[in-house]
Amino acid sequence: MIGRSGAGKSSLLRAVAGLERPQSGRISLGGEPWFDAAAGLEVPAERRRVGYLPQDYGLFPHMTVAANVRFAARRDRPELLEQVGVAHLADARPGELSGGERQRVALARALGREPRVLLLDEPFGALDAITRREVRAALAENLSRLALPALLVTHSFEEASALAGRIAVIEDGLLLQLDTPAELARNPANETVAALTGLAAPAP
Amino acid sequence: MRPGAGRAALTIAAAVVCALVLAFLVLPVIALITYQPLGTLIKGFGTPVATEAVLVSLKTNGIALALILGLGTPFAYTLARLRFPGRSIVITIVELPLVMPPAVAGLGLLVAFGRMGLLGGTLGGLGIDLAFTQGAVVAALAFVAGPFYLRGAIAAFEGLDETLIDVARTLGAGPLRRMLLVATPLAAGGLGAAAAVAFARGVGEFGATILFAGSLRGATQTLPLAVYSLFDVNLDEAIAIGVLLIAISTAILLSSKLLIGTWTYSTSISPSHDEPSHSAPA
Repeated sequence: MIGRSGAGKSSLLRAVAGLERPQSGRISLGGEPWFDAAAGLEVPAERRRVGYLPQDYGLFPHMTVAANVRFAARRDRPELLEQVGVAHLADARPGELSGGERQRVALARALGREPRVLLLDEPFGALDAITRREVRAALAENLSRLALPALLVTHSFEEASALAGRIAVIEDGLLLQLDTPAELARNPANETVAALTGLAAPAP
Repeated sequence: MRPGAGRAALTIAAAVVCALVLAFLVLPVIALITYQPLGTLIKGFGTPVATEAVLVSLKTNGIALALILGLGTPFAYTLARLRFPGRSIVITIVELPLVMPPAVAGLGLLVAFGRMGLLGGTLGGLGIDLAFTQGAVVAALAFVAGPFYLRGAIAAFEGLDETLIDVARTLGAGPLRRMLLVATPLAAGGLGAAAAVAFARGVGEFGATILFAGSLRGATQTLPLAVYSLFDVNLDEAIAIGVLLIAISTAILLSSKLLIGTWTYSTSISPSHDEPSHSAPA
């Protein structure tokens, strides 16, 4: 999901996570309804199996890396830390980690929940340009390996097209266009979309 | 007046004001400590009245603090996180004992829980006669000091980073796990400070205790009550117990500052705080 600040992307992500209640509409995953305003149905966040990564990753600063994962998984899951490449940091505290390391720990913790969908809010926002590219490559690799559906919020069309199969352009709480990156660049639905995607071609 | 002279005058005036304020605050304490020779003072700490009062104070304050923390923490957490109609009324009720004269609080407790009071019959039927017992001291302390803890605890919980609680929810944690494993440890600094204030208030509590629990030596006579009862009988001993109280209060103040400093976590790790690989407390 791309769009300007304040467009409603983060709110949408939080609504999917169950942290915000939309006024109307439906949310469902794989046919299982999570929210239905008309039917008065709202599955609480604790019971939806989502892997939610907020903008600063939301690691618990008073717990070690391993304890953070244990909080989600209800037991020790060292293999999750290995999968994302932070096994050597198991006893470190979040405050001692770099931005890229924190993101990976947050991902491992989210996986501890055995989520059915990943929700990533500006996963690279907190990183400098160089780290951003490295972490993006690592994240792309992790995402494709996990084969989990993922919703990613970013303000950068370049990042979105590098990572996403489809991109939703959102402005003022409205969906302007939902398409592949290539299609968005070729046939923007309106001027706003064209401005957001820029004149540069999407990354291959 | 030349500008230089004006500034000098201002500095002197400020210094005089500071000195006066400090002297006013410190003089009573110094007067108490120096009233008797040190030897007499220390002997005064060990008299039967003093030792009994210390035991009563420690025991009742310990139990009251345990109750305040055990019941007050979940209550403060709920009040901090839940928005419900009438919430501001509840908060006012919680804050009322803070502005109530302690003697009035004691009277209220007597009239509510005493034998002839509102709940007196019910309690009596259960075999509980609360007034003028150690239980009454605990009740008075909880009533008077509890709101100090609640006020600080509510503020501490309200000051937490919402995002962390949100993340805990998405990780499947129900309200109990969120409170015990996430909110309370993160708020520990603020909770500790509030507990120290409540404990100090309880140790010094007088008005509610004397009206609801009386001043029975060995049973309900706390240190402040002992000072009062000895005042016109044996001034020296009253002063000795007073100094003992000052020592205890100072110990509470200092140890809480030392402890709580190490408990405070930053509840959000700012993006600008990026460590390559070395250790840094958050």
